[in-house]
Amino acid sequence: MIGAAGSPGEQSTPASAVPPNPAGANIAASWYAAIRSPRLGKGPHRMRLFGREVVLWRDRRGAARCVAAHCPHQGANLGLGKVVDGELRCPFHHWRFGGDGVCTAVPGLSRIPATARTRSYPTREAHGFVWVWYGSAEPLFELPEFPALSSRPRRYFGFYYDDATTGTVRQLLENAVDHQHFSALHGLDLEGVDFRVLAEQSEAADNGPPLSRDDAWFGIWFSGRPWRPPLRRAPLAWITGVVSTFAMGRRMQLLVDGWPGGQRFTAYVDGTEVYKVIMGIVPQGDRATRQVGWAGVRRTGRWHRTLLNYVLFWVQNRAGTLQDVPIYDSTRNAQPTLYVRYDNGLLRFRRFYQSWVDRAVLDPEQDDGKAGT
Amino acid sequence: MSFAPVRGRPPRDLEPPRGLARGWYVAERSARVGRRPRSAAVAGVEVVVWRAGDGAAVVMDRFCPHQGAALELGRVVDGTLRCAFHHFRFDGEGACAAAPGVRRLPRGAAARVHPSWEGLGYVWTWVGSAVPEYPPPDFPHLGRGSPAHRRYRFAFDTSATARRVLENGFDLPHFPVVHGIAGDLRLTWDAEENGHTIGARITTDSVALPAPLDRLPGPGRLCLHLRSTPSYQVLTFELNDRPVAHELLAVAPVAAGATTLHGWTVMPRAGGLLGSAPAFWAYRLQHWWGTRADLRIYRDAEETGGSINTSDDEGVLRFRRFHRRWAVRETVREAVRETECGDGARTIDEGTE
Repeated sequence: MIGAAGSPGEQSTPASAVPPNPAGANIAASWYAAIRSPRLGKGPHRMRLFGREVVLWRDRRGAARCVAAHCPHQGANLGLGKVVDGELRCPFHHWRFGGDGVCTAVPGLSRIPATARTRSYPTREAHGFVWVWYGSAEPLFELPEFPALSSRPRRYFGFYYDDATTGTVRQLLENAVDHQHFSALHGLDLEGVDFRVLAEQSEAADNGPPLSRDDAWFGIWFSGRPWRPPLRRAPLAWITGVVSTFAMGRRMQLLVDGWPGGQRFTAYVDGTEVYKVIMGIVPQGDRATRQVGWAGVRRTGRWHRTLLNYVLFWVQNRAGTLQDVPIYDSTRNAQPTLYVRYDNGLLRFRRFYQSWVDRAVLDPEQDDGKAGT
Repeated sequence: MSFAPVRGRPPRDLEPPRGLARGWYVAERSARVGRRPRSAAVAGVEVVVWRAGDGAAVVMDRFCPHQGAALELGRVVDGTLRCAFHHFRFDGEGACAAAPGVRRLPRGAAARVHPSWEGLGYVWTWVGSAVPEYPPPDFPHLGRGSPAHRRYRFAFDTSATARRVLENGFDLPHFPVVHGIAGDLRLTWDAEENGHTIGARITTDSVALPAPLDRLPGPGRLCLHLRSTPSYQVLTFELNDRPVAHELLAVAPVAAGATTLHGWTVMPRAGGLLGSAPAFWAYRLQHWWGTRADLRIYRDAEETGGSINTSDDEGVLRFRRFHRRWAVRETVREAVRETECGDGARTIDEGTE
């Protein structure tokens, strides 16, 4: 029934109780991708992150820095300023800020006020991206490593991707855990599905070294056999079945592990590694999230086979994104959901993610309670 | 590199319109509901309109009860609406017919379906209570058996409430001011036929035409016969007791501050000047012009209870009293709220805390 005062479903969660900024309000304490490394020059680079304005630049040693965008003095946007001697200089009164957000120089003043500081976010640079820590002053765990790009770049042949959506951070991450959607949305008719949530970090050693904290880690193992009908009877389904296993075997396997703001993937066909992916999330703000990262196939030693795998994987990856993004864009998250048998992993991932949302402490000065709790 | 040009429409945070009456409202035009489901909004509730196996239109909540995916991205398969995300299937009653990989469907795996009726080129839905309390519009002039006629369909967007749109015809003093129909207007009420219809005739013997036409001889006795329910109305324009045009005026209350007027005008192809094509086009032009004048007023009007009323306002006041009798009942909403909050098992829902 449609009532004049809204549907009952909405009455149980009135519009005012739903955070105005789902991305801003439900962000876990974690590392998030901000920008591709080569795109960040000397700076400053203005962008939106976590629902607010931030500025990124490189200090004298070339390390990426990130602070909240507004000058504590008169509120000018520091992104309009300049980087001078590795410090960010406000355009308005030439106050200068170091990478830690503390004011280092005020023209005409010998004693700098102690409160002259802007919020700074810890940053790291790795895997081709600048990563920014959200949730506390000091990172609670180290940025996970991804050896496929850092120590063994020659072994893989890949591409970077960047997809904008209006979904939430959690939605983008839980997609890999939601294995039922592989068959429903992506049309893989899978048989003999084996899905389990991993218990130990050592089980995901193929993705890279373990995270510095066990409780910041979540991993799954998925394995399934795409149905492959006779070519003549159902050519389209046959092609789907062949392409999804790279014509290398019958069983596709996926090892996913990650932290509350990103994931690492390794895919195998019948135990042979095919590709690796790293995914980071750029939580820009209200209904503006990007999934970015790198994806590459493992070189096989024969260039034509590597090229074929690359093309098949690129098509798979892009086609999959093309199907996922409209769902992300239009799903209503602020509604009661239903869990069925196969949603067990999803439920566990959500608990894991929400526990890191709870760990995010916000700087009251910077947030004014606007970005939610 | 972004390769995702297809966008899903994000959920809209719609505010339900205030002061809506229980009734049949337009959800979507019939022709726009084809093989693919289509999203729409009725009274602040987002719905998906689709056709079940027998071709009957179904008006259902837009989001899948499972994980909240928008159902218009799905497809109709074997007469059931299949969600794109996990292939949950819903039949025309909203019950979950199948879900892959699930042997026992959980309690509550059902989408809400709203009462609907399809006819007159629209999919109508009943708003305000669980069971329709009066029949959908009867407008025989469009039917196959009706005599030869010319007709057109109209649709106008406005920010006014449904009530303001419907009460406009009963508003006697606005005719000379907004529409320039100077003349001696009289309002006579019809005898009440049933509880959901209010009828009135607005008559004038000597209509003085507006400026460029005022030299012509007056056309004669003009009568506007209104029969209105709280949600739609049927109007008949009569000239010297001969019906010139029949109009069906329906409302699609999308949300607070967003209403669409829908409807049909049918002009019988009678002999003589009145049934001619020029008369049809002249009528159509004045209808468009007159609606435009009304919409200009609606656009910036404030919703008032009508604190200062004159004897001329009798028509509007009586319509409002009638409309208020059909207001969505508070008790119904309360009852629904209680039953809805009963079932728990709502754990980690993003954004609800």
